Amino acid sequence: MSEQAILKVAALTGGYSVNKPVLHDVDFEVGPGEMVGLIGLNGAGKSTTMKHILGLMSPKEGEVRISGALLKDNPDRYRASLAFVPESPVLYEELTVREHMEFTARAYGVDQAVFEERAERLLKLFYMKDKEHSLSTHLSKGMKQKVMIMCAFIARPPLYVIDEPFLGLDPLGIRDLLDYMVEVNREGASILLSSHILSTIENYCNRFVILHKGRIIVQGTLEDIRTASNMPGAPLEDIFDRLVRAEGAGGIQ
Amino acid sequence: MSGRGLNSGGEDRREREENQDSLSPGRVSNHPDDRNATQASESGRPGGVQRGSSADPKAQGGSSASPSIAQKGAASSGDGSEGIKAPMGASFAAKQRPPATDGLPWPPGTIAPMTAEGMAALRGKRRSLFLSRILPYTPYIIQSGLAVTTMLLLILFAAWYTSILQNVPEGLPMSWIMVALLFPLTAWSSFRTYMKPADTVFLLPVETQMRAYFAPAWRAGVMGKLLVTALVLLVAWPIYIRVQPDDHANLWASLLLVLILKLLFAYGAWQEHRMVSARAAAGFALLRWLLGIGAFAAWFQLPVLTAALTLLIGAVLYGLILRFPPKHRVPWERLIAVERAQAGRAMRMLGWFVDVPTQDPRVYRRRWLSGVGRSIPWKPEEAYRFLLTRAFIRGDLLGMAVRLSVVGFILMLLARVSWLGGALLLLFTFMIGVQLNGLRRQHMDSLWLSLYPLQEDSRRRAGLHVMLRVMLLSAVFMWLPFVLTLPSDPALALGSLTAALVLAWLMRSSAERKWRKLEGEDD
Repeated sequence: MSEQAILKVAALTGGYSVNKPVLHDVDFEVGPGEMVGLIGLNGAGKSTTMKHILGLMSPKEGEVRISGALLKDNPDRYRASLAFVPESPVLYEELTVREHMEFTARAYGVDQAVFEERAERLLKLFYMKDKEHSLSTHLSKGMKQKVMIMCAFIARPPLYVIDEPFLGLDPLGIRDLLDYMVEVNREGASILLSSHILSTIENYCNRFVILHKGRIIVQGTLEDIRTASNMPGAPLEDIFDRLVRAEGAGGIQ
Repeated sequence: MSGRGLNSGGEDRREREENQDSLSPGRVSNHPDDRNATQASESGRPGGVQRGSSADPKAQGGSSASPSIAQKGAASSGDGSEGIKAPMGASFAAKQRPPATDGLPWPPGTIAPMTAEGMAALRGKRRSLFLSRILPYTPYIIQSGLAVTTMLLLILFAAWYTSILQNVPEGLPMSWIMVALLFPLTAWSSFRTYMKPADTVFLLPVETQMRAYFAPAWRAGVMGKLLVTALVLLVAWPIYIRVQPDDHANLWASLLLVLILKLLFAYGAWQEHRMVSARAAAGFALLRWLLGIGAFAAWFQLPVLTAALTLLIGAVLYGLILRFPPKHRVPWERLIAVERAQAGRAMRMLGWFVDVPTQDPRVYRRRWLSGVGRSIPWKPEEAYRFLLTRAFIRGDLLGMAVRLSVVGFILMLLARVSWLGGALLLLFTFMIGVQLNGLRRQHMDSLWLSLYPLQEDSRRRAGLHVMLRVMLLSAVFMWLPFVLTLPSDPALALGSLTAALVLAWLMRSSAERKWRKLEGEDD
């Protein structure tokens, strides 16, 4: 898989201060058309990992490659291959909902006709059609989150990095987001998703990476993880609970 | 047992670090003073409230539960409140007061007790924090020429005032001028509460005791404006008694009236904040201004007894109808919004003189301009221009350019016949250009601009593009009055236009050099 991996995080060590790395030797891949769940407790290093992938932080050791290229090799291509949905929405106060999508489409070089069609569909899907021309300051938290999600899906890059997307979303929004993720997945896009709603993502992700205190304690398909934790047939939530608590007590015996 | 390890200090610290270096820049303050303020406000949690004597079993229960609540709060809020060690409400004793340098009457790190004194001190602390952000800029403001300009204006005013006093113009409608001078200053009411969004969580539990917090805000809001109003009255009075020496209005009585009206309107304005319905609040604000006009008109126009009676009845009726609309005990959200707007206004005013980080750009919808930017080519290299254009038409910079252009247009109407017109056209084009340099700072810290596949120079190119277009448009608009003189003096009219356009282009080039240099420094 390593040949065609869309995202390759290799032996990544890094953090906010050089002497006290938050991440230790984090190593995983996301293949084409794959959805990978990045899970861990608060502060386990999920967001830090994502910031390294986005190029907002530079690794102390190791590297991050998207479609085989480093950020510094070809920044434009690297950036164009990736869309990000942040944990808390970051919007321009001066733009309306539609203008956020238009700016994204223009930046990612989406054709205007394609943009119109995608925007129409997304606005309807996320029940945002009547908010299309509202300034972002007048939106609720959940609506702002929907704008972030719609912007990512307007771009249609090969890789999505999605941080806690369900926070603040209404039940229909969560369902529509999941359906949409499955759709882009089928079309060949890859998704790296972090979430605490394990019972939900259990059914959607192909593989999982469990981070604890900046280290990967286990990764693989649900079956792999069940085997590693000696819990055949158990739901992801129980396995995660056991693994993380055991890690605190010195590992699974 | 292993569960405990999950919430170890290391985890919390890392969480905090993550939060502090969060994606949206500058969201979490790490300023030590801020931390103190947070600690103080955190004591507003239920456990931190001191209620009467500790003999009360409920109160004891409350305070014994408080440390754990406090720690949970610290961990979950993740705002770096590391100093929470002392139990809630502890160690506040007058004799233990440290030197007043910290601004709080108890040792650093102690949780402020939510007594009246604690509440007042919390507001005082926030006030000094705000001032400490503003005051360092004072020298720059003075350097910017404000001091000289103010002195000059004062001297000019003094000369004008003396000449007016010595030679009062015939038929000056002084009693109406008094009304016009005094009513806005009296009806105008605002309060700095320094409230923060987090207060709806941390101070809400002590809502019933917030009166102590607001009292100093109220006093400060009234006192400053009262002094200004009294000063205006005192300055205008000598002219007034020269014009209307036989009038009943007496200086002391007028000062007393100003004091009473000021208090009444400040009370009214505070009640407006408390009103549940925003429409009712707006209606009462309008009423306050109208009553201000009415009150001074009555005082300066009617016979003394009628005036006194009218004022008394008006004040009683106003006080009565203020009681009708339903009100919140503490209008949290409105106060926080008003405070945010006022702090923003203060920073923007500073921005006239020095380069300050403006936190919240003011956004205006301006629907009539919604078509602007539609024609920008649909190409990735022009994507930022789309964002910048939309931001420009909804931001403060456009308002500034329009105001300057309109003033310039009017001046040009008056001065178009001489070379002074041309000079003014250049001056106004220059002033607009200087302000437009602010385009460079737009979206400086934007997350999306660092993530989206935008070309490195697209920000600079778009900024210069918008700058040049706006300068050219406003120069041509301000030049329009010269069309009238075009037949009689074509050289002046066309020369002025050419000079203004060349100036616009030169300013763009100079901005380009400057921006390139600054970009190098930023990198």
